[in-house]
Amino acid sequence: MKLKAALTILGLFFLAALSGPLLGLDPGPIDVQHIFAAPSAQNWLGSDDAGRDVLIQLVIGALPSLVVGLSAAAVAILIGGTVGILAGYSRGWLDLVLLRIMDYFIVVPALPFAMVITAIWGPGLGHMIVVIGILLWSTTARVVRAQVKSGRERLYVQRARALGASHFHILTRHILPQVLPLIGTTGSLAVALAILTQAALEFFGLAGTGVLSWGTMIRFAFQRDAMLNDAWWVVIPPGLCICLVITACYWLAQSLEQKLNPRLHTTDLRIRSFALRASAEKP
Amino acid sequence: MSALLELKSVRVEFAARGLFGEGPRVVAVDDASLTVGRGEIVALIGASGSGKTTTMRAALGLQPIDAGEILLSGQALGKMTGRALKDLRRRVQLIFQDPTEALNPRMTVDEIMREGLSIHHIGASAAERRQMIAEALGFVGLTPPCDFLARHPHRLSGGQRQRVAIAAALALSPDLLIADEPVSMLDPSIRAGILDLFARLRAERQMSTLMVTHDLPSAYHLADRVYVMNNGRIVEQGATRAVFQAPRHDYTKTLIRAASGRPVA
Amino acid sequence: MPAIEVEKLNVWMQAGDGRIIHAVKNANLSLGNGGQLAIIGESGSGKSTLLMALLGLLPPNASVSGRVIVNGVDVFEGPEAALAGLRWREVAMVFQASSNPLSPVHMIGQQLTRLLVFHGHDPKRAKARMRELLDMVRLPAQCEQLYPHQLSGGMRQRVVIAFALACQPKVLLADEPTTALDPIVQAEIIELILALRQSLDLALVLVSHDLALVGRMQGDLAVMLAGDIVEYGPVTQLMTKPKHEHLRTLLAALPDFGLVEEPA
Repeated sequence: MKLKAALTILGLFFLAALSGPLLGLDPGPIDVQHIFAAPSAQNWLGSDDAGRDVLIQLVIGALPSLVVGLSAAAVAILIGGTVGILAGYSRGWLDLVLLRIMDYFIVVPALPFAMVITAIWGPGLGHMIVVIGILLWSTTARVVRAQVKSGRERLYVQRARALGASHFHILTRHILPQVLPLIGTTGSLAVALAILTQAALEFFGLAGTGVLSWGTMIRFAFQRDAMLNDAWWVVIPPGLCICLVITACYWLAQSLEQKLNPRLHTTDLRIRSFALRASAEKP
Repeated sequence: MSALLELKSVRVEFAARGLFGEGPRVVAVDDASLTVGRGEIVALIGASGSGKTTTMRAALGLQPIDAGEILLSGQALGKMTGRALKDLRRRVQLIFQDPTEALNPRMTVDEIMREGLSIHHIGASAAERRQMIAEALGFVGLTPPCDFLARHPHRLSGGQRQRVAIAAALALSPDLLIADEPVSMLDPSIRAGILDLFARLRAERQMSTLMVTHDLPSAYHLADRVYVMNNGRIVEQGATRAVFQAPRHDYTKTLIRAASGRPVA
Repeated sequence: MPAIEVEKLNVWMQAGDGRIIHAVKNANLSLGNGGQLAIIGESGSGKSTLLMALLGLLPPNASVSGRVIVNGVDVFEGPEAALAGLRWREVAMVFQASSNPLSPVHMIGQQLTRLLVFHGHDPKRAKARMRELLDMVRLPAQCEQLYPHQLSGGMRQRVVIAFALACQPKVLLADEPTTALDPIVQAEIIELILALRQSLDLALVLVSHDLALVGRMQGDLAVMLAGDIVEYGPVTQLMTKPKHEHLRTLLAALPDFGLVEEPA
């Protein structure tokens, strides 16, 4: 149920994100007649401080939000997965060193770090992907490390070692398949976190101004006092979109987890939940 | 009969890890000597914590030893390097207690069988490997092999899983099998079949087996000689029947009394 | 009133792929107060399902027919409250040694005291009762200060038995209580259970796949095979004159090491 809902929501947003550039949507030029115009039959979600259509901006803004979310999550998973597998598998000093690095990145405060990086590199979508990826990888790395640490003690991994298998063989044939489902789960959580972090960074103007995305929409709405003008339609829709995508990602992670971890299927046996039949016939 | 595996006064110590660095050293195996001859099944009996598993790991070359010597066909394990060390992993095959855990649930029987062959580059062609796998599966009674190759371990019974594990070991034509409680996780009615496999290997292929177990009936039925281990020391050894009928050491007596349903206290 | 009365019990389990497994077929058993019953069978023979059915502890994918009366309570049709009162207070269970139902982060004494208080024991006297229980299962008093991982497998199993005896039950169910233990420890644990059964006058149901253990018991033996009770009768009679082929095979595999005991 949750899986279906999550996939539907994400699918719709992807379609919307693609339809922006495909249909050549354009919120139109600045229109002083319609500054903060309320939703109407023409502009379903009203217009913003420049009199441009909010719905079209929302559709266009979906693409950068999703692209940054997915790419940053991919960066986080790639770094986190590799470091996590290496640390969990190696034990000894390498594990210790990598663990300290992970600890270090976990305590890096997100916004100041992003500010410093933007100050050095300048704003831009690519930079944001890297920044968010760097901020998020250590969580993935920790989770993967813990799983690999217990996974390498599995008897069939020990059997492979007793067979004389190389580390590469054990890692690719036995360890990686164990952690892939976990990477999928933490991956969808990372997408959610990445989209949220991105919106926050954009809200503080750390993402550059050239790109129209949900985060920048909220930023502009605040800067131009949309709320003072009672123009809720400029703030709520992008916020709601962010919430929806994040919720969908969490649901996806949850249902993946439930599918992959049969231990979560527990029933309370204290209450009689089984059926009582009158006769001994086969049901 | 020349000895295939020979342990000479092996000693293994563990450093108990305390709160502040290394604690006192615990002797896990103390002055243990045993031999396994060619075509012989030898049982190493002992309770958990007796040091039998550590001894087994040492014989596999997986556990560094603090004193003594381990020889495989006269070669010292401690002096092996590189290629010889890797070949050791082929020459000595380990059969685990729990076949369900020892086989990767994501691999098919075919992949499990091929894994060892590809690690050790055995078999010149795919066809030759297929032939070797079929032959090994046939020996352990999984016939016709094509019925089993595509299956995953969870679609096999416990006994069949253990047969696959044994076949995978056999395909590498090892010199020595080390079986760690090979039947204790299996139901009594299928134990006999697995034990019979080891007996057939001895009869038909002159296979040497070191069986590490606390299950006395299987040692009694199968082994030519037994060693009894307690607290890291080998306390009794001899021909199976002689030891079981007239145990000399008190520990062996209690062990046999417990397993045959007589009062121990 | 007998302790356990099972009449025409059937249990079906619906597997994940929709297949229905007839786990227990038309089982009839009866166990008097203070009696002993051993149920022998291989994995998948339905012996554990039968045991869980005695306490109504079956998952939602199960369906049952027949009647199970334990200590006067109809397990399937009686009120839910009566069933809840039955569990642990009247009927207690000793689990497999490998399942380890103990909390790893609390000391043995703490866990046991907490269990006693949970089941309505006077908190002031719980500590004394806890010590009494540890003594009953022949554990030294220092054990109350230890964590489960500091105990050996056999000692942990003694703690589990102490847990089971906490509420002074009338019936003790033991599900493979010695599996995964060493032969000597196995013998000690089973001897402890049998001694406690006698001194506390418990009715005992022991489920096992190990015929050597059952040989130490008196009372009845039920042999299960693929859901059927293929043989049911006094232990001594069945062990010497097995009727069913399955029991005969199991008996044939029993060790007789020819150990010559010196006269004491």
